[in-house]
Amino acid sequence: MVETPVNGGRRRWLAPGESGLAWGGLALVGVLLLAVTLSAWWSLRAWNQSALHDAGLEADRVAGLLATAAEASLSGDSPTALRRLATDAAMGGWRVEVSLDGVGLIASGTPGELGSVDIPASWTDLGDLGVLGGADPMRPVRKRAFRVPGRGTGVVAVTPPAVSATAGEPAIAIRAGSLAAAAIGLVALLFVYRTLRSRLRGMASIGDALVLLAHGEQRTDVLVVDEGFGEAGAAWNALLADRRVLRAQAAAERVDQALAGGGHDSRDLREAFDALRDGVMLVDDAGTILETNGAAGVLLRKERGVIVGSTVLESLGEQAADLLAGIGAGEGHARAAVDLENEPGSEKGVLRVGIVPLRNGARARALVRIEDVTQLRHAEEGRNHFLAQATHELRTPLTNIRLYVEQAIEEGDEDPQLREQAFNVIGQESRRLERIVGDMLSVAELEAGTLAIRRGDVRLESLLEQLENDYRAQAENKEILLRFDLPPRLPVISGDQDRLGLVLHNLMGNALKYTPAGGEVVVLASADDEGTVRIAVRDTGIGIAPDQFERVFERFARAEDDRVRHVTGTGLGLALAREVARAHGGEIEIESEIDTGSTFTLVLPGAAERSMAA
Amino acid sequence: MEIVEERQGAVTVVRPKGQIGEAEATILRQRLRDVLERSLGRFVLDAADIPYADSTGLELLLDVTDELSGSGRVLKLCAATDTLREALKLTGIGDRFEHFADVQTGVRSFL
Repeated sequence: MVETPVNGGRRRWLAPGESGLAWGGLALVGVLLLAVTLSAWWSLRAWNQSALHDAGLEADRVAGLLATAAEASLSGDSPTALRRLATDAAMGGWRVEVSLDGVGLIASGTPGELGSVDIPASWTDLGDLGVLGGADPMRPVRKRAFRVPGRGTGVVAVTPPAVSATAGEPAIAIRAGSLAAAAIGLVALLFVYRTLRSRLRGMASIGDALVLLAHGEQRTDVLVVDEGFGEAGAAWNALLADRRVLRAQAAAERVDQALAGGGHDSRDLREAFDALRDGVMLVDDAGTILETNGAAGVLLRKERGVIVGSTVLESLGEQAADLLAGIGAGEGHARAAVDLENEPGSEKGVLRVGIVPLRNGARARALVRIEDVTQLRHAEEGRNHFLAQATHELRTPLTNIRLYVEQAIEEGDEDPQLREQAFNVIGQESRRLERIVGDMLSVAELEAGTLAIRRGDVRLESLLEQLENDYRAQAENKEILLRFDLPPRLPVISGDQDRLGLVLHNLMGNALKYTPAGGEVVVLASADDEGTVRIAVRDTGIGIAPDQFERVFERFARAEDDRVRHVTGTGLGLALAREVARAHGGEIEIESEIDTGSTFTLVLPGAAERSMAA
Repeated sequence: MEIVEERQGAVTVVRPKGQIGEAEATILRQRLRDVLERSLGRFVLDAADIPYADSTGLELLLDVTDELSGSGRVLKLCAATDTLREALKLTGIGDRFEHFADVQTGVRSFL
């Protein structure tokens, strides 16, 4: 079924949409014509009134003159002069009548109206009456009384000539002019209307089509307008045709994408791509990246738009491009680690790139998977370093123990002093082994997330006394002055004695390790009124740069300072110490200055208070 | 607002201290964006010292996790206080984050 185009083919006096405008225009014309007519009528009326007014005034003046003339003329015996004046006035179009009270008409401008009249010596005298019927200036007839002393009174009646404007030529001209103006206006309006009618219909039709479109009408054959509506209509129809083509193209693309995606909507695929933590790329035969996901953009520090369209060589480097070339040569799946270049202000990253061939893709020939293995690499390096250091740390006390055991066995019976010294060394090295093993176990617990605190009462005095006993000999051997600056009495606190011992041993071990011969290590302890316990280990060692403060707490961290490269250690001590401190709700604080020394302080807020409360 | 940054391996631990209101959110948002840019998204937010976050603070956290979601990640919240967890739960946005009991567990999630 073919729909009738919007407004097309319908012949109506007024097209839809234009009717309001047209009727409005006609109404306006009507109002204008009415206004012109009213204006003409009003002007005519005003002109007429003005003419009447002027005529009335003139009649008053003429009546006054004739009354004076009548008084003068009738003072004598003959009214001839008066009658001549009336006749003269009649010749100018005036109508003049002079009558005497009780006598009648004695003079008139109308020929034949006046018969033979004798004027008596005296007639009725009505007194001094003045103006009669001349007060209204709009009335054309004027009467004026006069009085002849000693004889009587009379009246002069004057009618001016042709006082009605409605009958004159000016009135006709005005009427004709008004009608002509109205007619010309009406014709002009009809001309303009007929001229614009086609265009108005076109615009109205397009407006109707837009309204239909806004209400969801999508059928093009309903939305087209009559081609006869001019350029605007043709342009609108052309736009509709373009829209139909674009919609068809979009639909075709959606179908293509859906087919290429195995029946899934492409937006779902894009969403799924972006939900992956690993970067993913689809690559064609030429190594051009066809599609990628958000993770790839983050890992490569590039916008998705920049990656898509670039080559693997440009985005991932030569190594990945070589891998891709190997895929093309039939070498099968490939994986490789690619080190990201360091950028100023960014952190080093290690990416692992894997390439999987796609045999049946429409355009894509390979899928590139990018994993961020930086943390994994870091952990592997740390574990390797830890194993190497732990091996070294274990071997040293074990060697000492073996040597002193052999010495005690061989020479102990003969030299009791040597035997006692050997047993002391064996005891110290055994405790050192115990601490190393304890550290390793703690690391394992930390890695497994099972590092637990077993709280109990901890006697700080005995803990610090044990610390002094364990390190006194080591300090003396290294010619370091070890001093414990403690208050007379320290509180019993709540905590895990073994873990806190581990913390203090690590702080003390580091202080002795990094303090040269002749230096000093001081242990200070205090407890404030709020129950916060602070145990500080202050040394006069090499010191730490402020930018390394956080790094020393990293697990497996090794100092980048050339002065301590020869110093061995697992790199776990301070990391463990801080974890233990935090597990107690506390912290390890650092104060340090290069070549002056460092102070590591174990802060345990409220530890003493909890113990006392318990 | 004090914001402490620590490195644990290749992972950056961001630890803000104090409640997150409108003023703090601006500072923290900038810092998190910097860290995100620098660390390729390898960071966790240690929320142990955030006693409370108002609507601006919650919006900030949501914005960050939304930003991360475009690359398959979400914001990793470690050691969140009960108050913060409750606020996330009541506003129905708790499942937009990964929650870890402590920082170590959060850091290990990058392995």
